[in-house]
Amino acid sequence: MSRFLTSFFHTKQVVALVLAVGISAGLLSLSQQEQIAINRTVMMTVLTPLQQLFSFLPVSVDLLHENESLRETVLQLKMENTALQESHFENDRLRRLLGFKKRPGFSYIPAEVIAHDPGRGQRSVVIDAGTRAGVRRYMAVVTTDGLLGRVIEAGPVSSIVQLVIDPACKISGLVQRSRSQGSVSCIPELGLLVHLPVRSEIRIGDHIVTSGLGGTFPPGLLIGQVDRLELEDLGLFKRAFVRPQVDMSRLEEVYIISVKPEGDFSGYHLSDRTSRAETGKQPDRSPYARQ
Amino acid sequence: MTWRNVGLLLLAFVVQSTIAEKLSIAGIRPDFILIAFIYISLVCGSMTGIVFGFCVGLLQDFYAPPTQLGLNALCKSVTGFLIGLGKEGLYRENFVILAIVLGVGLVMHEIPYGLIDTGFNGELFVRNFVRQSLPTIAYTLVSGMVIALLLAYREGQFHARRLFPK
Repeated sequence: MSRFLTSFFHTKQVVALVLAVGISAGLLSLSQQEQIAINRTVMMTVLTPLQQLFSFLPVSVDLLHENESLRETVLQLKMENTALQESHFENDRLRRLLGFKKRPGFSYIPAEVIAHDPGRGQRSVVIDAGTRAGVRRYMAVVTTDGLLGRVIEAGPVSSIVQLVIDPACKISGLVQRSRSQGSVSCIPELGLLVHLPVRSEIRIGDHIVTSGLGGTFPPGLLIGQVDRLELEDLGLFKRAFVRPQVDMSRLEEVYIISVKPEGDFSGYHLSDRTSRAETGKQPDRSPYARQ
Repeated sequence: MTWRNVGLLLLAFVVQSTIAEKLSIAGIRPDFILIAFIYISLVCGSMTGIVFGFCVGLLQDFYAPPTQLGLNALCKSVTGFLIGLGKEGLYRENFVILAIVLGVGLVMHEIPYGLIDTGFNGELFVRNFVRQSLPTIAYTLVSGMVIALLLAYREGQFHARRLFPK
């Protein structure tokens, strides 16, 4: 019997199996935080460089179809862009006539989400762009759908992004249609809300965008759409429940908004007091301030 | 042989991340990585099964949400070892036996995976196994056999031995 077993299970195989099972079981027995730390380290040091090495390979069999559809979109956007540029120049001329400051231009730093942080209740994500790519603390982060959040920590090659659904993230917003201003914040049990004076003009379906006050977020970034309205306790304010435009569970590519060299977003600062009210923290140098 | 196996698994990874989604029926997808891995274990034996199972499983674990790190590596190492034992004893040049080996390999992988994933909660395990694992096993088995038949086809006949290099 023992000879049969010996011939059946070679020593090397048994050792290899015990090792593999032991290491796997060891990894499984780690706490969630430790597993995330290992996962993040391996992803950032081994797998991400490997992926970048092979990134020239096509990843989708639908590439041709996607290319075709993107060309169509590009054409549409080009036409739209031409019309918008006309309006932009006209707007610039009128602003100059009225003595307003020139609006800044923005550039976008692309990045990919490499980790979610369950330890923070899915309120932040890690992206693969850091200070080496020009990312700075408090820069706004968007997706193609709208505002995602802002950078709260910028490392050399990665950064942590605080999502708009983090209760600590306060944004100055406005109703795109009526231009009524309010404060956007997230309450864990209620979701994303915008608080407005009771006489503000707002309807279900209205889009909420950033107002640009405070200097953290550029104006006009889409935050979400109004789902429901209700009066607050004393009837002095109303609150609108906002459905975020960005699907936080499906984050892949994001863009960090950076100011073009000729732009200067600091012209949008009302005062340090506004900045403090918006961020809920002591005023920090705005990422868009002049260097 | 090793490089051929690595190439085969890489191909399975690419197919899994591109075509598998297109083939999904009601959210159930065939697992091409498992097909390739079981085939490699059957051809090369237990040692290769353990090593490849551990490496492939660990790679899958790093790409999955980091909550069960090591789960795929554990299940695939054990499956590779057990399937690899059939290298010597099984008459592999028969499609029925190949189907049985593939089916048994898939079940051997899914049972410990489901048990650990559900925290050994029997009720949840049975529910997930019936709703998710069994359809996946069936779909993967059919896909694996279709691939085997396609690769074994020559001059109007199916030769299972074409699947196994000398």
